[in-house]
Amino acid sequence: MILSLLLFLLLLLMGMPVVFAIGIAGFVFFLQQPELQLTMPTQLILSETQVFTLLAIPTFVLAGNLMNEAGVTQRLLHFASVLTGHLRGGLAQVSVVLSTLMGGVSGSAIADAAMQARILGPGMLQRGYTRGLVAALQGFTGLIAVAIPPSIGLILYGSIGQVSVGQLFAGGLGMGVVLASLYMLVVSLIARARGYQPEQPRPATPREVVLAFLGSIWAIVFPIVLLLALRGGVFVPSEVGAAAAVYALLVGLLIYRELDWTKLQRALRNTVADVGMISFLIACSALLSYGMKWEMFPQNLSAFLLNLKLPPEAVVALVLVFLLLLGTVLDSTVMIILLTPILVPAMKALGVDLVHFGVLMVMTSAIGLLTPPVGLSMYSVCSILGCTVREYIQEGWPFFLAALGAILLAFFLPGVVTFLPRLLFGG
Amino acid sequence: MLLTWIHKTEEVLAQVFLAMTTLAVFAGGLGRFLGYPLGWSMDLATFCFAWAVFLSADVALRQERHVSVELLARRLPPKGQLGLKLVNLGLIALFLLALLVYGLELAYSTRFRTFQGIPGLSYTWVTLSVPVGSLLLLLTTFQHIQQTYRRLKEAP
Repeated sequence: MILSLLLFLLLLLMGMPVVFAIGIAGFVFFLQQPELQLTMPTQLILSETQVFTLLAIPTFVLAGNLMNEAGVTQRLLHFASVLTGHLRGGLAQVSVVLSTLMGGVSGSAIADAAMQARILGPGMLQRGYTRGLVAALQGFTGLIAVAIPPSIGLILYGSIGQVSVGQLFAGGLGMGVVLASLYMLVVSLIARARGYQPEQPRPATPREVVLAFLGSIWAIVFPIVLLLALRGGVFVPSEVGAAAAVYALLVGLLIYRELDWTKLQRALRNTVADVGMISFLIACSALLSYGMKWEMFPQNLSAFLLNLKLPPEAVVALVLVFLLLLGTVLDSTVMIILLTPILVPAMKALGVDLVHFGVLMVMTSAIGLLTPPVGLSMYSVCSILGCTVREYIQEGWPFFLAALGAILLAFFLPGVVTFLPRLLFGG
Repeated sequence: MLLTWIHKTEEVLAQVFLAMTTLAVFAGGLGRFLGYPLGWSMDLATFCFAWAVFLSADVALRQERHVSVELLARRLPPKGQLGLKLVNLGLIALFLLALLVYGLELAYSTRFRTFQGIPGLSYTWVTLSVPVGSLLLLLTTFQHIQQTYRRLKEAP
């Protein structure tokens, strides 16, 4: 197994797509075990697609893409600018609020960052915001989508680690609000220092706010409807995802009436590409995960962590620091898929709250999307806005600190995460 | 020409299977809620999803959506980068070939097993998704090998 892991690292460094690096390393493990049949890797890869709980991924991705095509984005943008356009650094504040609202539609940090960089980026550059700042802002606000339900990262952690996805969603909501508030604080400090102007001279009247709210109500209530649907316990996350897709379809066809055949096809096409990436990765990871289970990695890690004789909080802190470092090179989806089966049993043995840990783990891993040397969100916003990684780092560090601050806050005050799950789900 | 047709079909099928997965899951949830549990919905959903995953894996590969860490590889001279890429593609092709061969073996061995919810439908229809998907991925990988080799030859 050590050989497989070393091979995985080597292939990764050779620039091979992660999914194949994992698959090949996993396959080599089976070659080393003469007692295991070689049809087994194929069977394992297939079996990952036959897990009903993991169908939450394609259904929620489809729902998000449908919502996007249904005309939700423009309406949420309008609502966000009515709410915050009068603040100093108007468009930057609008970006933060839009990310928070869009987080309830899309579940991926990269998609959210790329979309907003395209929509809001050019306008911000025109108004004199520096390239690095815009790139960092749009990249980091994408993290809010990871926290606010539906979140692909939390679905993955929940379905692999057998933790309630409903409770994770509820926990993520608190995290998302904290993150958005800290970003707004950072934006207002920067805007004050540099004299970035408001978009509107005066706050919107209550009437305007209510009208904008009603215009986008179908998207705003979406995450709340999701939570309520999961709370009843009647529906499992996959079903809620499928219902969300049907809901998005109905809103787009009957209420906003913007969804036509071309847009529907585009939503399906984007979903196919997203699912081809994430689900194939999950499928191939089954090989490496099987090897790790075969060699009792989860048990060994639990024993090791228990033997440290540290308080559980200290162990969680250690794990989070490790995830933060690993995230600088590894993609967060890969980390969640490979590490959840190892970490959850250990955390359970230590008596750590698995919802609290899950939200912290997923958020910490996702920060790696924005940090050099390897960060997918960072690459995509930098290439869309045409800025160098150096500019991005020079202007982006306050947002990095804000994101770390949000995680630290949630770490020291678990209530930020656990308040809503306890309220909604009891226990 | 044939390849274009295959890719078009593959993408349309992936979309159809994905939509059907979602609809089957929705129907199952709705049916249970209304007191008419549907025995077939779960099996239909996972059947469609297997095909959706392995077909869309190739769609994603052709769109270069599978992420990689190009940290060290980028530091090499252009010719070295292309050479390394050929090595990678060769290893990927071997892996896919193994999946294809053992996938066919698996499909053959499951021919008498049927679905719980859909009796009469052989499980082989699901297991076939792996070798078929591997074959499509293999074709794309060969194309990439060809392109990379051509660029390597033209490189100064």
